[in-house]
Amino acid sequence: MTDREKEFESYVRDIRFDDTPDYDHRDKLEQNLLAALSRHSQRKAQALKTWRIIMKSRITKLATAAVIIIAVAISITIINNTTSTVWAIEQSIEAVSRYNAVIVEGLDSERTWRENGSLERRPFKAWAVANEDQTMVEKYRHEVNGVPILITNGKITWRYDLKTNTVHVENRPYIASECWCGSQFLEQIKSFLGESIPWEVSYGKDPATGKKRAFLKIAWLDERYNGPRSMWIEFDVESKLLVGLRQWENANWEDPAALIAETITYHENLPDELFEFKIPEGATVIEQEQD
Amino acid sequence: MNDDSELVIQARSDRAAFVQLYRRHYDAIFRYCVHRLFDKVAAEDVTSEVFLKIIEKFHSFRGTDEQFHYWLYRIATNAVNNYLRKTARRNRLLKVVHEVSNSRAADCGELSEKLELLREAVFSLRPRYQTIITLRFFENLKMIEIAEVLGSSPGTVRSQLTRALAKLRAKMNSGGTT
Repeated sequence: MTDREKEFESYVRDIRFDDTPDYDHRDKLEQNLLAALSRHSQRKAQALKTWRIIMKSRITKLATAAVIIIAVAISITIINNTTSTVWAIEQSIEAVSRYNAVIVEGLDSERTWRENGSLERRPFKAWAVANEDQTMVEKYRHEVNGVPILITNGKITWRYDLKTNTVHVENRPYIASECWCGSQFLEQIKSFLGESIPWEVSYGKDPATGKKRAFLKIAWLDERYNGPRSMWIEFDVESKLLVGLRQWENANWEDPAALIAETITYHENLPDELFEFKIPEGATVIEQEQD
Repeated sequence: MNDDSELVIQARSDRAAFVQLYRRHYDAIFRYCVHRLFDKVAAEDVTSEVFLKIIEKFHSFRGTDEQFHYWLYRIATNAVNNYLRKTARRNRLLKVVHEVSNSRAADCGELSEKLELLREAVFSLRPRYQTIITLRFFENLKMIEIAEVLGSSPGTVRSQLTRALAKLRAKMNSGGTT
């Protein structure tokens, strides 16, 4: 045990924690559990009884087998069961909470329209480190075509305009809660599932690795959550991690997508040097006044 | 830890065995919830949720009695973290963080100053660190056991414990304790 552990252990030893169980609660819960067990057993017994009746007849057995195979196949490919999807997202929340940093690569839009009417997309790479309770981004670096255009170390924010070779410096953090694909974001997605908004889940494989993926499409109008907005979110089935994301600034997945995160990788932490801006040679530096 | 390998197998189909298993683990799970939530009322709610979840998921558990113990802690950890997230979100929406936490303290009886300081310091950590601190110092689990609960490696748990303690110390020192 380290000195720090001994110190803390000594501290908590003196603390009086009232953790005595209330045995009334234990006994009452026991009754509830037994009732739940009965209901659970009845459902299983009914299913078994039905199964036995079916299995007695060869004709119904074959027909049932066909129905079951189709039903299982459908349930594997498309599940719109809210309970199981909520459970899956809870597992994802737990999986994501193990990490404190992400690296995201993909395409974002400058919202500059080319002459032919298509949206200008830019390849980007972003590094993000979460704050203590993993609700928002604390440190962030955003590069477009390999050039850092936004960096914050949690205390100072630099924004770089390549065209004018100008750096704007603010002595405050840039916090973008949307950027963090952690528990708060997933918790919000989970809460949407219980409401009457369009969503669906499907399954497939990552073409590059063959790994199983689950895809959630969801849309909402609520302005409190930056609606109207629609998303397509990709989860890795094995790790439960969110590994891809597309976002549209409309509620019907109508192209072009404003953001395409093609790969999201997870890390315990990222080096601090990533979140310090090196002023380019000859750049104009403008210190922003704080509001 | 009592050996309840046979009991785990029997409890899947035998109500009396399930009750025995429940009674064997109730205290430990309840106490873990209290140590995480600093609130007995909330701990009772979450404990109920944990055991109801076990009924749902029991059929999918395929392990030894030792693994059952870790599995219980894992379900309890997820339930506690879920509860804390919902409470934090609800408090942000209602903008009554201070009033709610004060009223909870009143409901539970007055927390000692030391316990209140500990509570604030622990709640300032992210959920994973809170879990590790609680499992290590209140449930007295070893690194390897905590790693089993969290599905991590002992090395990762060790380094996360070190970071958690550093953050706790800084928080508690800024709160004025020695």
